[in-house]
Order: sequence, then C-alpha cells, then structure tokens
Amino acid sequence: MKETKNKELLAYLLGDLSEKEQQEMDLRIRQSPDLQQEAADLKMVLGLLDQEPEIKPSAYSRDQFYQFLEMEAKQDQQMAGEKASRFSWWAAAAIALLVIGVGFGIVLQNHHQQQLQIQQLSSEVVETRKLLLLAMLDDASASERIQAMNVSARDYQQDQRIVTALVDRLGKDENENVRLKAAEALSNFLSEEGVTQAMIQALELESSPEVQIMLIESLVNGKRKEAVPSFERLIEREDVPEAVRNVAAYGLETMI
Amino acid sequence: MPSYSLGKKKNKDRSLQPVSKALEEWSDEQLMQGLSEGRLACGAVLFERYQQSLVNYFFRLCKRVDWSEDLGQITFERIIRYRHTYRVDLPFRAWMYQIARSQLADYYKRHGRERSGIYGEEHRFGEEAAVNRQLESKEQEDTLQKALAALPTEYREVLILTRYQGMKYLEAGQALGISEGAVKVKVHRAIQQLKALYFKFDQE
Repeated sequence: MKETKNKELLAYLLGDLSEKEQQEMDLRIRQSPDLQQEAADLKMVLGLLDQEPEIKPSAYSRDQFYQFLEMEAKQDQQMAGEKASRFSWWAAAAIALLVIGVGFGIVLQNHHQQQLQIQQLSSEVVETRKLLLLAMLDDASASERIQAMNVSARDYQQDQRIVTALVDRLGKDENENVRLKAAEALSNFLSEEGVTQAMIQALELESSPEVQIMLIESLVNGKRKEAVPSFERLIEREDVPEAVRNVAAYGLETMI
Repeated sequence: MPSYSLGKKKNKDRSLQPVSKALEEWSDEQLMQGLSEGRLACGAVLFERYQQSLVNYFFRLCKRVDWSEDLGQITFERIIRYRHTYRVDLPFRAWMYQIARSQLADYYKRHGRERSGIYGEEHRFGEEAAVNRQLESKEQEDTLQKALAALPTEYREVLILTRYQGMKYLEAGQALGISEGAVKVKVHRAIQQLKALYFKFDQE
C-alpha cells in the first residue's frame, strides 16, 4: 500500500500526472502528515541532486575542436578539388572531340563557382570562430575574456573587429588582469592604425601599475616615438608609483 | 580611418554585440541539416551549445575529468565526421547521446571499468576544472555522492538525461533506445532508490 502511494507521490512531484490527478494528490497530501513528510524527503533529495556540481571543460578542448573543424573544411576542399579536376579532364576530352569553345567556357565557369563555394565554406568556419571570440571577449567571466585574448593575439592579427574589441577591453574592462592581457595582445597590433594612439590614451587613464608598465614596455619595444610626450608627462605625475616612472624614464632614454 | 574612443572606465560597459544572429538562432536539427550539406560553421554552433552538458554527462557517469573531456571531444568529432548519416526525424540531442553512449562503452572496454574510479582516488573536483559549489553542507553532498555511486548505471543515466540535460521522456528514450514509458518507469525507480540509499547512508 505504501509503495503505491510513493509512486503516485513521486509522479506528482515530477509533474507526470494529469492536471486532475495532480489536484487530487494535492488534496491528499494536505490531509496526510505522512505524505507531507514523504514529499519533503523526496524534494530534498531531488533538490540536492539538482545542485550537483558541474565541471567546466577547458579552453584547450575548444581549441582542439576548432582545429579539427578547420582540418575537416580543408579536406572537403581537397575532395571537391579532385572532383573538379577529374571533371575538367573529361571536359577537355570532350572539347578535343567536339571543339566547342562555348562548352569550354561553361566548364571553366562551373569550376570557378565550385572553388568559390569551397572558399566560402572554409571562410565561414573562420568567421564563426571570430564571432565566438568576439563574444568571448565580452563574456561575463574574466578568465574567458583572457583566454579569448590569447587566441586573438595568436591567430587573428588582421581582423579589424578583433583589434577594436581588444582596444575596447583595454579601455573599459573593470578587471585589471583583462586590461593587462589586452595591452599585451595589442602590442602585436601596434602597426594597425589607431592602436598606438589608443595605447597612449589608455596609459594616461590607467591606474594599475602593472598595466601601465606593460603599456610602456609595449610602446618602447615597438619604438613608437609618438609616445614620448606622454612618457614625459607620466614621469612628472606624483600619483604614479616610482617603479612605473622609472620604467618610463628608462624607456625614454632608449627611444630618444 | 578607424578611430578608437576611450571613455572613462565604466564598470559594466557591455557595448559589444556578440555572435552572428543567423546561425545562433537555428534549431539543432536545422544546424545538423546545414552541417550535412557541408556548412561546417553549423558544427561550431552545436559545439558551443552542447559541449558543456555533454562533458558533464560523461563526468556524471565516469567521474573522471580527463576522460570526460576526451570523450566530449571524440563525440563531437564523430558528429562532424558522420554528419551525413544523421536523420532529420531524430532529435539532434537523442542522436548525440546515442553516439556518446557508444563512445563511453568503447572507452570502458579499452580502459577497464574498474579504473573508472567512481569515488575512488580519481574522484576530485576543482583541480582540473572549475566547479560551482552551491551545496549547503559538505556532508549532504557526500551522502548524495555515496547514494549516487550505489545506484545502478542505467538509473544514473536516465537521471542525467532527464534532470540535468532537461530531456523529455520521449527524447531520452530515443537516445537510450527504449520506449517513453520505460524511461518514465526507470526515472521513478531511480529516484525512489536514490532516496532510500540517501537516508540509509545518512543514518550511518
């Protein structure tokens, strides 16, 4: 008898009953302290179960997957390429036989279209990856943002949107480590238009000594002479720690 | 010429608009369709959507962080490689877990189930992976862990699919190759048994 009750009670708690049955059970529970106790026990176990901790896969496995995906895209490209070349071989034979210039034109065009499609496919993968990176750069967790920067700096130096996003992080991120990483990543992009200027501006606004030093060193290593006046101003500022001012002074010496 | 504006630091400036709307909004099955037609970018979206829950599916069954990541990886690679064999009438998740299950079975065959170390030495959280700990008491958690470990694998699996992955009985049945009704019966038995085990260990 007790077993049957349990079954219905559980079905009730899991929402597996019809609405009418659900209401009936509601009533029965209210009248029976036993059922109430039982329901509380089950709810507790279900609650604990739902709170079981999750693990978070490492960024490494994401990287691996994208590498796999890009490889797969290349293979597709090769296969389609072979097909296309076999096709044009037959086409060439046909042309030799029929000597129809028009036919030749059509074949060429097909081949060309196929190539275009393939290019589109693999650039779509790269594009999606970039978009995901951009989203990661905007992620709520600082470690995600930092991870995204590592990848950005390594793989996507020419993409304007990513550079812009990095500049954005450097200027606006509330997390010091993220700004530090952004400064480091951007040191690869110094030749991009506006990046040097953005780094100089960030140096003026920055309050963290670590980020300040990273910015100074990046600018010095990149031999960005435009930064000289800003270094000079920094050296004069009393709110800036001495260590930072020393780095700036040393940078000035090497640059001038 | 691009210009960058650097405003004063604001704490919650989230001006970037993330991710291509188009693919993100596709259903799983549409993405699979796209994938089998050769749009590999669809695979990237599916990966982002399910990697975490897939890895945790493995983790909850074998309790090893390293295996779980590996298995997640292998499963996704299979999804990409065998994209042409996907049938649209099957929900994507059911198909994914079909593949996942056979990968885990293979893994057990190769590495031996006894080494799966459920709650043995290998059982540790928080070193390789970040873990959300919200449980009120460590004791309760330990007791639940013990109870879960004592639960037959088939029961644990239905619980994982229906409670954590949020699958309906029908979809979980498709993944497991059993009927909707059978899933429901298993879920009920699993919870009853889990509860009994929990209170048994709790009193010890």
